[in-house]
Amino acid sequence: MDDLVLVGAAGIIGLLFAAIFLLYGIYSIATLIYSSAISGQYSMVLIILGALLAVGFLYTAAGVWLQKTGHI
Amino acid sequence: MGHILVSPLNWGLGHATRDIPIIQKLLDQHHEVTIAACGNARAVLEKEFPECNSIGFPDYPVPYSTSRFFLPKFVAFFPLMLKAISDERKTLNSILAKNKYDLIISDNRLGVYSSKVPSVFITHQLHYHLPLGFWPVELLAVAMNGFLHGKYLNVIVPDNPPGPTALAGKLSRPGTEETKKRVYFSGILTSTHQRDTREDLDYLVMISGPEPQRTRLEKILLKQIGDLDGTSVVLLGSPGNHDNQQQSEKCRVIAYASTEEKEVLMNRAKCIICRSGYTSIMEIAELSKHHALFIPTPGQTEQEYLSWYYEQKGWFHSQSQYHLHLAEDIRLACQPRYTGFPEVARTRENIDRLYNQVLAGYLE
Repeated sequence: MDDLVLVGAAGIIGLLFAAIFLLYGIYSIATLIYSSAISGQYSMVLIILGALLAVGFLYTAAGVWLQKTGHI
Repeated sequence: MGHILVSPLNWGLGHATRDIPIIQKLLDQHHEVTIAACGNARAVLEKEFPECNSIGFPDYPVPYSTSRFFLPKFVAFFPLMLKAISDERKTLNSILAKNKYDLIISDNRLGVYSSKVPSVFITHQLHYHLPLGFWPVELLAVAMNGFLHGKYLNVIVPDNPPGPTALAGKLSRPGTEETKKRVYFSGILTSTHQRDTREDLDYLVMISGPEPQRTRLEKILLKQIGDLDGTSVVLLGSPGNHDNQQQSEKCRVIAYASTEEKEVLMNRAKCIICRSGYTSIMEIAELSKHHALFIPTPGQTEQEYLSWYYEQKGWFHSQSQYHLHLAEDIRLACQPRYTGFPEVARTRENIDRLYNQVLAGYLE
C-alpha cells in the first residue's frame, strides 16, 4: 500500500483511539465525582474538581504559550 | 522543451485560476502542458488554454457544511478523503505510464507526486489555523504537513516570505524542517490584471464560496444593499442562473460574470465586499485596492483567521455575516485607519522569478 495512504489510515485510527480515550476519561471522572458525592466524600469531589481546573488551566496556558511563541 | 502535468484541486476555482499565469508562462517558454483536473477547475483551464491536452482526474469530496461548524464535518470526511487519495495515486500512476512528463505541478492535491518525475506542490497553507482549544490537533497537522511536503522537491507558496508583507500571516509560515528546506515564496499569483480604468463604481459585492453559505450571504446582502448611497454591482457567483436584475437605479445584480467582466468590475470598484478567501485576497493585492470589507465563510477557519489577521494589521475591516450591518460596516471599512495591503510585487514579476529560479531548473 502507498505510504501516504498508510500514514493517513494510521492517523485516522489514532484520532479514533484518542476520542475513545477522551470519552472514557470523561465517563470515569464523572462516575468518580458522582460516587464520591453520594457517599458524602465532599473533600474528594473538591479535590477532583480542583485537579480538573488545574489541568484545564495548564492546557489553556500551553496553548497560549504555543501561540505567543509562534509554534501554532 | 519539457512536458508538464498541471493538476489543481477543484474545491472552488481559486486553485485553477492561480495556475493560469504559471501555465501561460510555461507555454510562453514553449513547453507542453497537460491539464489533469475535474469539474469547474478543468472547464476553466480548458477554456483558457484550448491548445493544452486535458485529462479528467477526479479529486476529493468537498466537506461543505450547512452550519457554522465546519471542523467536525471536515474530520468526519477523513476516511472518504483517504479513499479518494488512494484512488488518486492509482490514477496518477496510470497517467504517468501513458506519457512522459518532466515535471508535475500539484496545486493542493496531496496525492499528485511521483518518485520518478520531479514534483512540486503549490499551497498557501503550510499551517492550518484551528480554534485555540484544538492546539494539539494543530501541532499534529504541522507535523503531518511536513511529512506531505517531504514528497515534493519544492513547495511553492503564493505569498511573500514571513514578515510584514506576508498576506497569509501564520498560514504561510513553515513549521517543520522538511517544509523549510523545500519552501519557495513566489509572491502573489493571480489571473486578474490591473487595467487602466477609472474607479467609477462605488461598491462591488462578490458573493462566492460553498453552498449553502453562499445563498445565505446573498439573502443577507441583497436585503441591505438598498441602504447604500452610491452605485453598486452585486455578483452572485451562481453559474446556473442567468437571471440578471436591476435591483434599483443604483444597483445592478449579475447572476454570473465571466472572468473578464469580473476583472473589469474589480478594477472599476472603489470598495470591494467579498469573502476572505485567499484568491480574492491575492486579486485585491494585485489591483492595489485600499478599501474592502471581508465577510468570512462561517466555520472556515482559514477565512476567519485571515479576517482577524487583517483587522489586527489595520489593513482591512471584516465582519461576520451574522453581525453584518452593510452600510455601517462599509463606512468603517473606508476609514483611513485601514490602509490596505502593503505594496507587494505583482504576478507578472513573481511568475518570471518563479520560472527562472525554480521551474526552469527542472525543464531546461
